[in-house]
Amino acid sequence: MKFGRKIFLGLVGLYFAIPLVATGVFSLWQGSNRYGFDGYTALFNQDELWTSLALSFELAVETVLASLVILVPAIFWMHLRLPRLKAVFDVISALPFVIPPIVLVAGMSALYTGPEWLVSTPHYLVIPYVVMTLPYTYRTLDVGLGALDIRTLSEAAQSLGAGWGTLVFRVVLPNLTTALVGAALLTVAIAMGEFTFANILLFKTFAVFIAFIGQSYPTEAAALTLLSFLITWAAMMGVLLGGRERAEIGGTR
Amino acid sequence: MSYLAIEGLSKHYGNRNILSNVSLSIGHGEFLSLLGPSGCGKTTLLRIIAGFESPDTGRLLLDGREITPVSAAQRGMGMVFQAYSLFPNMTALDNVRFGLRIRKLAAKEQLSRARDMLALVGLADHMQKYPSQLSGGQQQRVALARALAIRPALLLLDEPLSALDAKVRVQLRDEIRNIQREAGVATIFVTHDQEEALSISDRVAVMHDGSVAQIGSPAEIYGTPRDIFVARFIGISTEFDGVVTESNTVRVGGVTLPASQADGLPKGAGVRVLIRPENVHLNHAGSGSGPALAGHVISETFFGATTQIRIELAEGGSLIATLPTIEAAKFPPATPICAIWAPEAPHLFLKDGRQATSVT
Ligand SMILES: Nc1ncnc2c1ncn2[C@@H]1O[C@H](COP(=O)(O)OP(=O)(O)OP(=O)(O)O)[C@@H](O)[C@H]1O
Ligand SMILES: [Mg+2]
Repeated sequence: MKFGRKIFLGLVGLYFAIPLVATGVFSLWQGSNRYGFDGYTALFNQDELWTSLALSFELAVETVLASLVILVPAIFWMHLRLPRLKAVFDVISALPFVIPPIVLVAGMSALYTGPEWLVSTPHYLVIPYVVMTLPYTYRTLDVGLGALDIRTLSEAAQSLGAGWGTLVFRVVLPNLTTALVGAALLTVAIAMGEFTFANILLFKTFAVFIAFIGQSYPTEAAALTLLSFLITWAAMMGVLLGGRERAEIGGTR
Repeated sequence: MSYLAIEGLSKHYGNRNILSNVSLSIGHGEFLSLLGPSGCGKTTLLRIIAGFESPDTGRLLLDGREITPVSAAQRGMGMVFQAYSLFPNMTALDNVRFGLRIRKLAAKEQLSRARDMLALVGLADHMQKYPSQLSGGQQQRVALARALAIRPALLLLDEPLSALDAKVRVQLRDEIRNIQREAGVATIFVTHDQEEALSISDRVAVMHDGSVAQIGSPAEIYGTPRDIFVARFIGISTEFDGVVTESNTVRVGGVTLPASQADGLPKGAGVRVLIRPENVHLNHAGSGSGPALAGHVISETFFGATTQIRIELAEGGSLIATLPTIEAAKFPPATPICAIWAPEAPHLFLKDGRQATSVT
C-alpha cells in the first residue's frame, strides 16, 4: 500500500516535472549541442518584456484594489444584514465561469462606452479582470468572513462604544488578513496570466507578450514561460505561507 | 426608585407580535432575570434595551432620561452574548481594553483597569492569551470583564452560560452574581433555565408569548404563581380537574380535599388544581383519618437527599410526591397509600388560567 502510494506520487511528480525540466533545458539551448544563457539575455534585453510585465503588474494591483473595495463591504454587509441573499450572491459570483470571455467583452464594450480616460487605455481591462476573478475573490472573502461571527462581533464592538470605522478597521479587517492576502494573491496570479481579454482588446500585457514571443523566438519563449511560472508560483506560496502564519498565532476561531 | 424603566414596549417582525406591551422596571444594583421558554421574546427585549433593535412602540428610561433614540454605541451598556464574542485578533487583555481605548482613557489607566477586571474574573494568569487559547468558560469570563470594564450603565447577559457544561455553568453563575454584587451594577440576565434564574436573582420576570406573565422574587414566583402558565413552567406539579364544593374545599375525583384558595369562589365552579410534589404527604393506607386520595406506589426515583415517588391513584391518574429519602423508604413500590395536603398547598386556577385568588 505504502509502496504503491510512493510510486503514484512519483509518477505525479514526474508528470509535473518533466515538462518543466524539458522547458528549462530547451530555454538553455543555443542550436546544435551548445547550451547557455543566450535566450535569457536576449529576452531580458527586450524592452517589451519589461513594459508588458509592468503593465500587467499594474493592472493586477488595480484589479486587487478594485475587487477588495467593492467586495469587502458588500460581503460584510451580506453577512451582517442580508444572510438570506447569500444564495443569490453565490450564483452571481459563479457567473464568470459560465460566460465565455468573448461574450463578456462584447457585452462590456456595449455597456462601457466612456469615459475616454478609461475606455481607451489598458486600465479598461481592470473591469473584465474584476469580473473574471470574482469567483475566487468572492469565495475567499466569503469563507473568511463566514468563519467570524460577524453579527455578534459587531454588536459586541458597538455595545463597547465602537463606531463603524473602529468596527471595520480594528475588528473586521484584522481578522480577515488571511482572506485578504489570499484573495489578493489569487487575483494577481490570474490577472498576470490573463490572455484572452487583452488579446481581443489589443493591449500588450505580459501574457500577450508571451504569446508573441512564443510565435517568434522559441528559446526565449521557453525562458519566459519558466519566468511566468515562477511568478504564479510565488503568489501561490504566498497564499499558503500567509495561511499558515495566521494559523500559528491562533487568530481564528 | 426605578433605575431602568421599560414602558409599554411592543415589537413585531412581519405580522408576528414578538413583544406586546411589555413594562418592567429594575432598581439600582438589582439583578433581574428574564425567564421564559424558547422563542418568547427574551433576546428581542434585551436587544431593544441594548439598542440593537428599536421598538415599534414604547420607551426606555434610564435614570429618568429617555434613551429610546440613543444608538447602541452611545448607551454604554455592557453586554455578554450567548455566542463567544471575543475579538479573535486580540489578547484577553486587549479585548478588555477595547472599550476603554474607545473612551480614550489614558493608556496607564486602560491597562490597570483591564488588569483589575481580568483579576476580578479570575484570569490574572491568562491576560496575554488569545481567545482560541482559552476554554469556553474562560472566554465568557473575559467577555464579562470586557463588559464590566467600561463601567456600564447596565449589564446585559443573554444566556451567557448556555454553551458551557453543567459544572462550569453552576460555578460561573455564582461568580457572576458575586461580581455583580461587588460592582453594584444593575443587571438583566436572560435564561431559559429556571434553576439558574431562581438561584441568583433578586427578582425574576417570567415571560410568555411576548409579555411578562409575572414578576417577583424567586420565592414569590415559585410559591404563588399568578397564572397557570407560570405554575406549570416553574417547578413540577401534578394537575387535577376539580370542583369547588365548600368555601375552602375542592372535590378531586370522588374525594373532597382542603384548598384555602377556594375561598370566595362560587360553589360548583370548575377549577384546575396544581399540587407541588414536596407538598404531598403520604400515609399508609388506612392509617390516616379524614379524606385522602387513595392509591399505590408504582415507582421511585432516587435524587440523593430526596426521593420522588410516583403514585397511581385509585380513581385513575397519577400523583408525584417528593419525600426526604429516609421518609420515602417507608413506601416501597406497590405499597398502598393515601395522600393528603395542607389547605394552603394546592394552587387553584380558573378555566382561563388565572389564579383563583387574584379574581377576588
Ligand atoms: N430578526 C428577526 N426577524 C424575524 N423574526 C425574528 C427575528 N428575531 C427574532 N425573531 C423571532 O422572534 C421570536 C422571539 O425571538 P427571541 O430570540 O427574542 O426569543 P428568545 O426568548 O430569546 O428565545 P431563545 O430562548 O430560544 O433564545 C422568535 O420566534 C424568533 O423567531
Ligand atoms: Mg434568546
